[in-house]
Amino acid sequence: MSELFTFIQGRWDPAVTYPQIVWPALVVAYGVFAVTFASLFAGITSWYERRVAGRMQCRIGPNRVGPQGVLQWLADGFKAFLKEDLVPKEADGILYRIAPYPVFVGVFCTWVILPYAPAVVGADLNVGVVFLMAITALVVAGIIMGGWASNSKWALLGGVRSAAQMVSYEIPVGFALLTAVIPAGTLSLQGIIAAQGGAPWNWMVFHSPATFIAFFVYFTAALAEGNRTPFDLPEAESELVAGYNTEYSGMRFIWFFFAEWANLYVIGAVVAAVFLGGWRLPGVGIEQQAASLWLQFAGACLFVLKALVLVNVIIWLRWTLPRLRVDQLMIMCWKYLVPAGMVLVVVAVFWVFVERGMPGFARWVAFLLCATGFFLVGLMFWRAWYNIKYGGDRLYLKFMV
Amino acid sequence: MADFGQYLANIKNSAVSIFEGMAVTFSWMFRRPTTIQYPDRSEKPVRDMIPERSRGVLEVDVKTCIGDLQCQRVCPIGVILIEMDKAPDGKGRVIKRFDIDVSKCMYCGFCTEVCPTNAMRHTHEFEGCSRDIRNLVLHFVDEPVPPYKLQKDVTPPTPPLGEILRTRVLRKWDASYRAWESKYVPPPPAPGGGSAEAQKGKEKKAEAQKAEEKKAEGTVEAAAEQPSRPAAPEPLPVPEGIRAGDILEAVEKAKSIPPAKAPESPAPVVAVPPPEEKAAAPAPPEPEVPPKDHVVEAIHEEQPWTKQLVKTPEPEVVHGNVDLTAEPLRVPETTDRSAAVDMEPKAEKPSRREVQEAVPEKPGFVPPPDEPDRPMLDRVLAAMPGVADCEGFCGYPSCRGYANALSSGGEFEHDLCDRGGKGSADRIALLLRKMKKKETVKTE
Amino acid sequence: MNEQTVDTFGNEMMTLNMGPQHPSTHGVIRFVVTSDGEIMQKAVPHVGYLHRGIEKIAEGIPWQSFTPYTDRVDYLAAMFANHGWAMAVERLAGIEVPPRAEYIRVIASELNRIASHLVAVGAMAMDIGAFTPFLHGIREREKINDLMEELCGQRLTYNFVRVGGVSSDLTPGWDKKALAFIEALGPLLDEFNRLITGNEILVKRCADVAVIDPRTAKSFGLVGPNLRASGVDWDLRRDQPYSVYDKFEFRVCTGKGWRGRVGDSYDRFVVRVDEMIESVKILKQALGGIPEGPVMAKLSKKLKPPKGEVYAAVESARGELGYYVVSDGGEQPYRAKIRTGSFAALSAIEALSCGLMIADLVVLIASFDVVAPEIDR
Ligand code: SF4
Ligand code: SF4
Repeated sequence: MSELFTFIQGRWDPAVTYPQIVWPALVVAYGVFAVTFASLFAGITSWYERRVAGRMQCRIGPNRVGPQGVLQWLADGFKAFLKEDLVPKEADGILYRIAPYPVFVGVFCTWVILPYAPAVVGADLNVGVVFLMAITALVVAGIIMGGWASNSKWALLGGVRSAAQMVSYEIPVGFALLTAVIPAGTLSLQGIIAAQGGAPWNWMVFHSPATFIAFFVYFTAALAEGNRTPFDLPEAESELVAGYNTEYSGMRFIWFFFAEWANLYVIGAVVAAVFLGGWRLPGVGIEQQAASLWLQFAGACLFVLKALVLVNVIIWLRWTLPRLRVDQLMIMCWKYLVPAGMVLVVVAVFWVFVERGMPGFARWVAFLLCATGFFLVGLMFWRAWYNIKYGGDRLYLKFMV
Repeated sequence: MADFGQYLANIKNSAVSIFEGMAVTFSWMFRRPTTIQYPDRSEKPVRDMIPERSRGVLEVDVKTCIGDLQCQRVCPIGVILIEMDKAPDGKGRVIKRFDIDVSKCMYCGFCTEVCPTNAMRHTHEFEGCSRDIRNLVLHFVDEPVPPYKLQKDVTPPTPPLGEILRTRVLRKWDASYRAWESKYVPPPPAPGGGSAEAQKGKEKKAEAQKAEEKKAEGTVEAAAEQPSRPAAPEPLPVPEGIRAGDILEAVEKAKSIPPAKAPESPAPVVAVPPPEEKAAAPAPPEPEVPPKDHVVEAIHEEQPWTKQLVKTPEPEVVHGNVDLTAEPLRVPETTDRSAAVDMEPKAEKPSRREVQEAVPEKPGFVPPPDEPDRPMLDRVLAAMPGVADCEGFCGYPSCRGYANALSSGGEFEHDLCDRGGKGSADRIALLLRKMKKKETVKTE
Repeated sequence: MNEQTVDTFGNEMMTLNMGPQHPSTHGVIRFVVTSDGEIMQKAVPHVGYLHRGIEKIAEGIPWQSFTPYTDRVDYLAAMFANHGWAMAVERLAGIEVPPRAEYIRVIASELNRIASHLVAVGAMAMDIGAFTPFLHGIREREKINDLMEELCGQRLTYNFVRVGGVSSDLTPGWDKKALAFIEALGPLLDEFNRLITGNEILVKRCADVAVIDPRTAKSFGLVGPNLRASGVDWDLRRDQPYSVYDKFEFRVCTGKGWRGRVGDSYDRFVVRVDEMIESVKILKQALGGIPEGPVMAKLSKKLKPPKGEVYAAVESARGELGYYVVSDGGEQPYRAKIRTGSFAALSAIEALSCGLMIADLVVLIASFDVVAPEIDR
């Protein structure tokens, strides 16, 4: 925020003359922006996800409300608001009622540290990564509250599953982020972005073998933290009816899902910032970008774009994979991700010396990893093409149906 | 070490299989979805995409039914109800009743297989949603029809599949009684009205008169060959914008009111307001706007194909077993200038209250004075006439059921009792208000 | 419900009521689950929510008129239920079915088997959390439904196989369409396998879950794919050939313990996928060799089979579907009893459930492919 303020002061005289007015106004404006962005994103994603899911399942998806159905989320939200707000008779009334809000707050508070441009960030905390992990832990409080207060066995099982899952997956998340923090040398998200470059081979994900794997570890663990398939056990609808929100209806039910969809963006944005170069534009220095309004804007757009691509991947994963069992979830965490994370941290530390000692070799490895990454993407397209051919189908690119 | 190999194999398997799975779902992003956007965005109406043999809702062409009751006998669940009767002239028999309870039918096809003349058929209609389960009992006979005589080397005529059902029956499916009635009851007189309308009305009247004459001829012919079979009457010349279905229903409506049977001198029909009123205020006709009294129909109306279907007026009259020859003058009567205008759908549907007021006062049920000491149920019950021949317009099995629902707060509509009319409705409204007051007092 | 359930260590158990309305109970079945958190001690199935008294109805209506009711025994594979009843009555009354009718019966049955298995594997994947395979299965099944509608006029409740033959002949061009469909089905099944069958998460969820060894399987009276997945090589189509099945070459698929032990849930999944491929083989042979002729035997309108009793069974998608019918020489059956695979499978659940997790119970139910109306009739 202060960067933004300084940035504005440099261009707009009243900001210098009346800082006591402009500063609070700026804070409020940014807050409004963040909440609006988050809400719009969550709403539209709820529609978008269904459209994508539809196509993946050879269906169409909601396309009637508004052009192509984009207003579907408004219709759904409106319907939910009109519904009766049921509180089960035996439920713990107060806890039951406030449970959605911690979930909501936990997700929305991460917007404080999401950086859009060199000057556009809520607060460039020097413990940004730690803040991120801490504040998302609030979500679990809400979910347990909801599960407990519903006074239903299904909801309780969902809540307890969620608690176990989120607490466990904090650890791989921490390790994976640490792997990225070590080469960057800072916990601040802006710092991590600044340590990367605009071109893909300068991204953190291709920095070293350790960060390359840490990317996948973080992505997996973040999915688990965000209760997304294949880790959506707390709300496993085929086992626990709907998990912790079994008893919820109407508006409160929507809050939970609102938070879940907003969380999609958070996952995408954090991965984009930490591993994929954030707002860095290729071939543009940081000072140069910080000085120009348009370059900042372009950087913000690029950042959002990267985040959206990742959101797409999350949606895509959800509509492909089955769900793990509870014990397998724990095995996955404690036997695969946590040991991997530990090794990664060690390798990352080791790589710092490699970089210092053999910068040429490190560069070469980065190029190689980058090539691997693009090869994987290309392979995916080829496999998809193969599937279309093999199934005796033709390419059909009409998305507006 | 083997364990560690397994460990790595697990990781590899997961990665590869997830990658493969994602490739499949990804490929479907670029393949054609299989959805058919029913009902309004399919290339053809879904009804026409259905294969030939498909077994949809049953229809029966009573004109070619020989009345051998085979279908009734073969049906495993007794869906079909046929009543035969002695013909009024004493010779032969007539089919008095032919009902199919679609809500019970399991579409097995036995009845259509046994029918010797192909009178009983499965149509391709499948949209069986209705507001009232009673609408699902399809009545195919309005006036007793003589059964068809099977002759050698003569194939019984078959009307296009589904036509009888669509034009006669399905239109009424979703209409609640009130919606149905409100369409055919004249609106309260409104000021104004242009000469153009009057002109139009005159034309219509002329046409209607022509129809009348034709009808009369038809009667004569029919009377001549009575015992064998009434001749198919000439298709009614239908005034522009009025669909045959409307006329048919108007006929039914007209019949439902016990008329003085006088074919030579058309008597005024009760439901039509007196001529002075009509002359003063012909309601503005809007012939192109179809009645949108229920959703299914509305959807149908929007589609070009359904428009076509509905707008072919002649065949329904031919096949739709209303024996027009028997009562030739009723139709022209109701299609008289102003009646035709009245039958037009209104641009705005009158509100329930308006309809209520527009209903010609039922000669007076006045509920007995209220007795405040008795239980609420009894008081509400006393507000209804409780006649035996009530047709259950309120939707409850008995007056008591309706009264019970009202007095327990489960029903809020106070004006459902049709036989009781305004007297009942007002009394019930009063009681409901009292009840509410009492409750609030209690809770406070 | 109120009984206190305590395990050996004095820990109190939790009683969970799963169903009759629960997303994974496939209809209305109810399980009373006694569990210690996620791990179940037992799950007791309670049936009867869909009992319609079909067997009793049979006693009150003519022999031929019972076919539409058999449709309702198993709505996912109605052709087999039709077929079984027709066979039972034909054996009682000694009716000779024309060969063309037999071929059409086989074709329709095998198509129906594919449709039913597609739903079974799709629904199992859905219970495990993957929604997409289910809809990919439904997509193919929809094409089969279209074929069936063209053939017999109805998409689910066919009423096609009648006593003495089938209700109608193939429509012109139908066999070409069916051939084109089964030609296209092969690649799509491969795609389905890539999407879900090989998926490591599904394998881990199903492998070694609820293993049934051959002896247990036989003692519970499991039939069909559930029995074969346990390694018992038994298929009525090959071992007690009825209709014209003895004319076709096909392999009986048994569980091999692909990714775990023989008889686990994953085997039950894979056996069904394999059977679809075998059905495609049978269909190709049957469509190629279909003879000309009538499709219905000459029957009197009022059938009166002689006094006696008969048991006729077909290999339905859910295993042996048997009709035990007693005739007293009248116009209506004296008694009819239907033996269905789902009911036997359900009886095994209580014994198998001890020590499973709640998520495994869902897999177990899905892997048995129980259909609620078939359990209760
Ligand atoms: S289709 Fe079957 S159930 Fe329906 S009326 Fe005909 S015989 Fe009866
Ligand atoms: S519809 Fe057919 S079977 Fe039924 S009574 Fe008429 S002619 Fe006979």
